[in-house]
Amino acid sequence: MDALIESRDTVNRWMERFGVRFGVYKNGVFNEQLFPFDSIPRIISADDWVVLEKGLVQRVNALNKFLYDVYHDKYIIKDGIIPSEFVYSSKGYMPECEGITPTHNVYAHIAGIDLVQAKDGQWFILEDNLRIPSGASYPMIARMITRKVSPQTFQNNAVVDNRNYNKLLGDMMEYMNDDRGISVILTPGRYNSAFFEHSYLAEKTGSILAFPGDLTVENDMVYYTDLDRERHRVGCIYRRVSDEYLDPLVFEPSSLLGVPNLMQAYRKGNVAIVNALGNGVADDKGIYYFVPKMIKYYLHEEPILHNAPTYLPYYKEDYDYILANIEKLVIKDVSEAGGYGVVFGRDLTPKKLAELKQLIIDEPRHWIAQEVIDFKDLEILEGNDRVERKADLRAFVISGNGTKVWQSGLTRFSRNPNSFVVNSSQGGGFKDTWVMEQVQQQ
Amino acid sequence: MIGYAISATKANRLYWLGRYAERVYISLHLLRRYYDRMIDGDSKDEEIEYYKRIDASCTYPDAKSFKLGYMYDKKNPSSLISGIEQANDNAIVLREEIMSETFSYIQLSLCHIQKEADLQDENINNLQCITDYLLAFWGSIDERVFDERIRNLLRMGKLVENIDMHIRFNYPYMRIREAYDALKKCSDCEERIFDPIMLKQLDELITEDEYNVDDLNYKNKVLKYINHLVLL
Repeated sequence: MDALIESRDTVNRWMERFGVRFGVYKNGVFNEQLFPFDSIPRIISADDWVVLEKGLVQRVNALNKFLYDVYHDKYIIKDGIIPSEFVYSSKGYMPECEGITPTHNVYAHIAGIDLVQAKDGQWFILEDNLRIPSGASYPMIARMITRKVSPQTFQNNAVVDNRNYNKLLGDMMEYMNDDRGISVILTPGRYNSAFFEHSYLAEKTGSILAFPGDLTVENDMVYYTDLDRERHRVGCIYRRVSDEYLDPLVFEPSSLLGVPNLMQAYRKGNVAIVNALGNGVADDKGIYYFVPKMIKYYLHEEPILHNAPTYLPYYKEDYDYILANIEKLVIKDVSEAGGYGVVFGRDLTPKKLAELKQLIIDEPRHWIAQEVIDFKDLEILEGNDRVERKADLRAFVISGNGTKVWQSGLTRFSRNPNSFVVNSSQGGGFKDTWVMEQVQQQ
Repeated sequence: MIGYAISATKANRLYWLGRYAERVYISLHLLRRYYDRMIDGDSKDEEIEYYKRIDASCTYPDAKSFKLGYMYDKKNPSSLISGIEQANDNAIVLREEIMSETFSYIQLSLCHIQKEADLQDENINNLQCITDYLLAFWGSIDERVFDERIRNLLRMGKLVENIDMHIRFNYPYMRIREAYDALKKCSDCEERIFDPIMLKQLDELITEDEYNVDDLNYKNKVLKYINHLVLL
């Protein structure tokens, strides 16, 4: 593996050559940056992976059932498992999706589940991303490059080949398409932070990359118009546009990113939208608390993977605990994402702690608190030295004709030694994630 | 790769990718020629002639800033760096049409010129690899892009730019004729996106008898028609 580790700069030059970048807006100015790659892989043993895979499939299956239930019968609310206010006050809940049944009943076609490993080896779920989780393209291209740069590394290590994400995604889109027409990936455009991923996935799945304005709806059918003004019916849209911008006639009227009347076509079942609209209700940081309960309720199983110990100030007992122990907890604003709105109590001055307490008292539904997990740090190269940094893992679960976990994932790490925040938008880097082959016993 | 359903926007991008890639390639060649002439002649005269031929919007006070300006000045729309940035802006949204490997040659050109721009060295020899990358870019199109329509759109842009630049720099008739014949072959496949009036005018002007680039009126007419020929 040393050959691969020493090839870090070569790999990064290949990344640069292929335009592997992400965009960041800072003070209103768009800049594209390389996503720094660290060549020391995260290694997950075959035994660990068996547990992770089962746990992830279980979790995503429960979340899909929850989404169907929330937009149809609401048994989970009626049975008192989740208080109704957590559903209806969630920013991700969309009344416009009530009664809509997506193609093949699948909501979270691509789930990005963020996990961390504690020092004792136990994995914890940090959050579920069920709207438009991004990041799979980076380990995809990294593996393609690292195999090229250091073939002997892969000859000498029994690493599961992860170069099938495009197949998993393409097969799922084809299944959702139901032979209705072409499949497209809808991007907000060149200046979206994840545009590299949109274009790379379009290339690798053989889909058309559609831009705002390329799609139209007529008689409740979606069409893509070509240069000869010929219209091609669209059967599946893997959209990388947020819910609120998808149809200006239903949601944000000023949106130029969406497709007017798309909701009408979707409601009639004439097009599959990947991921479904309204999924935000299930990956809300407040709803996260209830996912283990969902697993028990819908699947009658014990959760295989655990949440990080979480407290909801909505409940009196948790409320009291949070206010009494705030300095040792991590507090999260449920409406924020991307590593924003995350505050470590231990980092705050007494004045700031008092202000935060007051915010929690004023709006308990707006916050969750978690115990700080003692992460297992991962080694990264800093210059020529190996140093340890915080890292997480985003696992990708694809739901179509069955639920499948991609045998890889995006390992992100913080480059700041004092930070737990690993997001690329905040300066983090990424690693390849190696899932090891099961060794056959003689 | 998909073999159908190119939107009008993407067709436009393909055409302009072809134009900018060719513009940078020819500009590199022409700048090398002018910088060479500056060794022996009056630099100011050469600068003025270059400005005149490209209808320059940017002029510079001396030979060194002229050289640096036409290589690395992002505010100069005729500079090499501006041309590569424009090529990249078009290529970046066409990854699934041209493939990552083809796109990589535009990225390599961009990364190289950005690094050279930081060094501000006026030696154009440092940019030889951009010529090589652009040749590799066209080679990669031939190797990897099989959709006739995509190839045609890129080629149309390349040929229109080729004719435009060569007319501006008074290239001989046969050079223009060859490129124009190749462009007309594209028009046989993509009739709808060629303006028939412009095509007719160019047919009448680009003949051995009519060809006269020393006549400014003639030159301006050809430039106008060639730049309005493709309806994208």
